Amino acid sequence: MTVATAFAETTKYTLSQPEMRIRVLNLYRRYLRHSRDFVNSYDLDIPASQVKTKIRQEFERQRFVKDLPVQNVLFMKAQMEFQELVNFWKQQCHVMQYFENPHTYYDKTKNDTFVDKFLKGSD
Amino acid sequence: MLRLSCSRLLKGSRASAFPLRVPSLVAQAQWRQYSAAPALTKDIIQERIVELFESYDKTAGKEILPSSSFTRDLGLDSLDTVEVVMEIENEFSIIIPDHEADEIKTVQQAIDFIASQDDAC
Repeated sequence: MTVATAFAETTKYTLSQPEMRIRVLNLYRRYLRHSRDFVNSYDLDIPASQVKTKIRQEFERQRFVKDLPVQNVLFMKAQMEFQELVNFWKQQCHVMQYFENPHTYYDKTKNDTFVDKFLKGSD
Repeated sequence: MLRLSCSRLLKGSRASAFPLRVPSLVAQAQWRQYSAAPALTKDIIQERIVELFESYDKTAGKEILPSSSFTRDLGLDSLDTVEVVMEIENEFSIIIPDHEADEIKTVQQAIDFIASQDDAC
């Protein structure tokens, strides 16, 4: 039974880039620190280093966003994701959505038509 | 009252058993202590940190001196710096609070910080 306010952070709108930078780096540090907990609690069959790489990839995805309000919203969403992951509110399937399905790279049957892909259940 | 009597009991038993009273004629070498960790000197800290950097992809071939700054000399960006400080935390089994981790920008600062922690091992 988790406490609803565990790891909660009051939403705050930062007005300066340097402060935003510090908050983002601290959030990244928190994600890295708990990456081992994600692997253990969700029974992910991947090593913690792969989780850390994925965290880094998600942060890099937003690297070139320069607009401060957009950065604030992205930070808010990232903090919410962190809280959901660390409090075990998600499930394994939700966490594994971040990682590519390993079977998609080994399918050599070349099912290209719409019906074939539908039957295969591609995403 | 119960608490007083308990504490007195504990004090009594503790005084006789610990520290262990051995006769002074017994040679010191016969008593081995396995629980003591080796002392953490700045040289050992530096060696371990340099080893850590050498195992990290982005700084593998570079020359790592105590004065090298993460961003200028080793070419790491801010996310890499956070990763490296996290690995240093794991190496020495300590947790560095956020405001102090932000201050660590050179190898020498990392060495000094760890040397100042008494629970680093």
